[in-house]
Amino acid sequence: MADSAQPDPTVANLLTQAGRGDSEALSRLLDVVYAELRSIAAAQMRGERPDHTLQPTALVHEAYVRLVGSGSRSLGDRSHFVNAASRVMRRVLIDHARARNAAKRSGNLRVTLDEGIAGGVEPVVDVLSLDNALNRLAAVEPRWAQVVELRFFGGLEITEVAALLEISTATVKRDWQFARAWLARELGDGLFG
Amino acid sequence: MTDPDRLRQVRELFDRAMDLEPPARREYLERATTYPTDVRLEVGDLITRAERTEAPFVPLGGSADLIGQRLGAYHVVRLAGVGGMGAVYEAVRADDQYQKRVAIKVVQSGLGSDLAMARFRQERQILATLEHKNIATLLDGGMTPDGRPFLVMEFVEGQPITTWCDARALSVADRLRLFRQVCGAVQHAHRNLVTHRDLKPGNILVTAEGTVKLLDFGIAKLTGPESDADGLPLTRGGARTFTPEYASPEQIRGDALTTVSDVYSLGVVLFELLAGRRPHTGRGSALVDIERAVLEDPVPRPSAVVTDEAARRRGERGAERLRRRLHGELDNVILTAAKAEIDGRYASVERLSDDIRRYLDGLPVAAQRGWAGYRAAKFLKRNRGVAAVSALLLVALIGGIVSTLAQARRAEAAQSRAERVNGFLRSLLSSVKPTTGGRDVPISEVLDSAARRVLSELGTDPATGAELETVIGESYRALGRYEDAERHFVTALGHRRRISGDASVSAAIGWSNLGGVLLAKGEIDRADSAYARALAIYRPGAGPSDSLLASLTESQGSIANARGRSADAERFHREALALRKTSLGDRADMVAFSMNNVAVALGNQNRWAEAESLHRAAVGILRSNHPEPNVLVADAEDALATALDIQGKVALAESAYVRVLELRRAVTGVAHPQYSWTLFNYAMFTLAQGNYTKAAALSRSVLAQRGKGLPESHPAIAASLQTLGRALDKDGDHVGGERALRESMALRKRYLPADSWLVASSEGVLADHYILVRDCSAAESLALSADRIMVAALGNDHPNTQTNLRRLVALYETWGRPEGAAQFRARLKPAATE
Repeated sequence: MADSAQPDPTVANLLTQAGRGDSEALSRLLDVVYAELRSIAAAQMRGERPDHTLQPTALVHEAYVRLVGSGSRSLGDRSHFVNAASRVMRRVLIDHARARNAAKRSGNLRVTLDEGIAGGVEPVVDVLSLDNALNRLAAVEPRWAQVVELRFFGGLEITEVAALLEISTATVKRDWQFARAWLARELGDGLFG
Repeated sequence: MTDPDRLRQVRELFDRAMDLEPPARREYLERATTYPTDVRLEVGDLITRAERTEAPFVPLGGSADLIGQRLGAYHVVRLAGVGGMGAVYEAVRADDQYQKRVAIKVVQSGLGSDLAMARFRQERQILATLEHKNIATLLDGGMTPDGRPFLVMEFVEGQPITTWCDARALSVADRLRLFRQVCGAVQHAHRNLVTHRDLKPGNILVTAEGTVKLLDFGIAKLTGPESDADGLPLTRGGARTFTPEYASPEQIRGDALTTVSDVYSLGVVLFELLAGRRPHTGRGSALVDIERAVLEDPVPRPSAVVTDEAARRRGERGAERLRRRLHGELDNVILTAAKAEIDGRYASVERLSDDIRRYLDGLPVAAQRGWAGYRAAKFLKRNRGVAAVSALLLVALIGGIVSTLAQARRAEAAQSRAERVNGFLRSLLSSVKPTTGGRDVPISEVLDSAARRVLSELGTDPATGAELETVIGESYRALGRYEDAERHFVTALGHRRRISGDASVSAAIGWSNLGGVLLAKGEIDRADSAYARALAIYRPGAGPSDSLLASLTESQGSIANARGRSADAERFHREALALRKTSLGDRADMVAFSMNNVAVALGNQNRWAEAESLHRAAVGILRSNHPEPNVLVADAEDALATALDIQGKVALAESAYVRVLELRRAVTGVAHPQYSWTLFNYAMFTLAQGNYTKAAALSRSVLAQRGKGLPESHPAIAASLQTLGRALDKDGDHVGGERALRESMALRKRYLPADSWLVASSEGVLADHYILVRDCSAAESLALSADRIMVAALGNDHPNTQTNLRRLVALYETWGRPEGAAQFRARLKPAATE
């Protein structure tokens, strides 16, 4: 009936294959997730939102429910999905920011980031500045940017990020501590409390 | 130096500094002269940010005089926040090799009054009695060098529960599960005679691992009798020690507080968690506005205030989705928790938590009482595997549970009993192979054996026995086995009267069930007296919003209707409607049902315009409650279509019929008897419009279900054969017409008593056929037989009898026998218009 669409079985397969390290499957998964995130983001931005912000974690979650379903797939699958989604999220956000600028609407596209930094205050940042900052982090060590993507966009926990990237939680914690402080400094005082 | 190289240096120095304990970091930076000054400065800034962002509180100011000092065994690192009662510092245990982080709460110098001091000491005692994984542990206490008391507590690194959930776009169900952790902690405190008195998201933190931690029992006060003796006054007119947005009305008024005041605050927190905003935002943000709002404005339904944004934060696609998720049960749970009147609230946090658990398990919540259909929907939801079993039967099964549960609502044993009954039902249903069709022989067989098992297996517990007798009775009633149903209801009633007494609510429910089956059997008088017994017991104690009172009143309406007293029926149904509106609000499904009943009573009084507008209102409510295809909407639309049809609103009626058919096709499929009935009604409509081809085609669609969705004995088969025959006749196919009409009559004679007026109706319609083909003697004998049956069954003045009389008059006139015509004309009622 009118309920949400059936999860796409091919996405489930792609997840399983990608989880086994199949890079072909991963690249196809990225395409599917990218398309889905774009369509969700587009739908959200068409809405009557006055402030023009997107919340990436919610986008990823919605894409997950749409593509995989909220059923009982293993946690590992979810991590792989979030990994894929976080990787393409920046592209999605930038596409939207550019589209917005092209449409000459007022203001830049802004996103609210997960893992609120100051108690109760939700950081809202400009997408293009964030992208630029992440590129600078990645230029030194791609992992730094990756941790940020998984935490900010995917909402993954420290331990989940560690398991996914196969590094220690201490490393993830430190990467995160550093990136968060550094981004707060780079993206302007006030935003990060 | 390139940007990446410099950034690498920054990170390196950052790591080295961060490897040290907080107090040593800045000193290290001072000495790290191998790094350029600008890098050291930047790292200093980054470390400040990193330390700040680790804290659970936003620093709001306060004294920094303790930073760097030692308090007992603890080294104070920084000011973490300022609460209502004092400053909170982060510290580390100086002599501990694990460098345990703690929070130290010190009474602010400015608040160092005797009162604050006394309460602070009290808090320390209270907290010392509380040990729970979801409550921040009190580790130690002492006095600062200048004589201010402090508490040392577990350092909680977390976010306010609302922020935490939003950041993760947690679903409503996940939020509820998390919230139950909160309830568990508060319950624990209550069991230790501690009320929190300032429950709010800022005091309910969630760690990165998803563990809830309750902070700040700063204004908690022992609720036991010992503390009453030297109970401390709450601050009235002094420093405010609670947050008005989350405070109960009694707390704002300064009345005595109990554990139920925490229930209110929890209700407000839950409101915010699920709906995305606080309930009282209408008047403004000034303290006095909020206080007045809490005291004077009712808490709105959470479902009514949701936004797209809130929906997205809960993984729902839009406000409408979230609204539907909250509408009904969760609305009721929250409104029951955050009720202004103490008496209407959940009596304990446990009850609240329990209801949430019930919601999560797909069980009916206590906050929403009464309505059988609702419970049936829940049952179906959680037993999708057996949903193919006749829904009608399930409705009855659950209806049984409902009425018995309502009886034992206040009894503690009710729940376990309900669970036993549920478990029994589930085992019963899982042994049934779902089959298609409305009435399943296997189910009735299972019921028979279940009925036998009740006494042998559960007979030791009369309360459970009474419930099962009721459930089995309801099931037999749904299967149409009214004698068996009556027998079980009578047994159940006996149990009920023995256990709870003749004047008990339980007995009233027993009488009501018995009344229901008697009404179904057509024993109007006995049904009436059973209902009268139920009402005599039940009405005196019932409130104006009681759902059982509503359904008893409705039954009186049905009895009046069965006796043909439509004006009385209207009055009773209007009364039931008013009761339901009071208890369920204006837009509940049951309100729509009641509207429908009133409309039917109006239609029976030929007040079709009024009936139509009520039907429309009912359809409107149901459509907005059930945007997806739904059987309730279909039924309501069906009734509307009839009202439109009768008023001759042809175009509207036709589109209504088409909508109903679409809905039914989507919900139940074409094999369902109701689909056939709607097809039949639509066929009758098109026949009256003179569209004979279509009427014949529609009738044939019904007949296509013969032996599939419908047994040959189903009344829709004979009725559709009749419509088909009439349509063919009108279309000039007299051979086909006669065949269909004869078959219709034969079926009715086979499956109905010989004196049924439906048999007479078949004879009359066949007589019309013979008049049409000028076989007057065949017509005569059929019409005369019909007259004899109708007079006996319906009386001379009944419209059907009168129609047949006019048929006889016309026949004799056509035939050229005026004396025959005169004989029957004499029996026509003068005002008869049909």
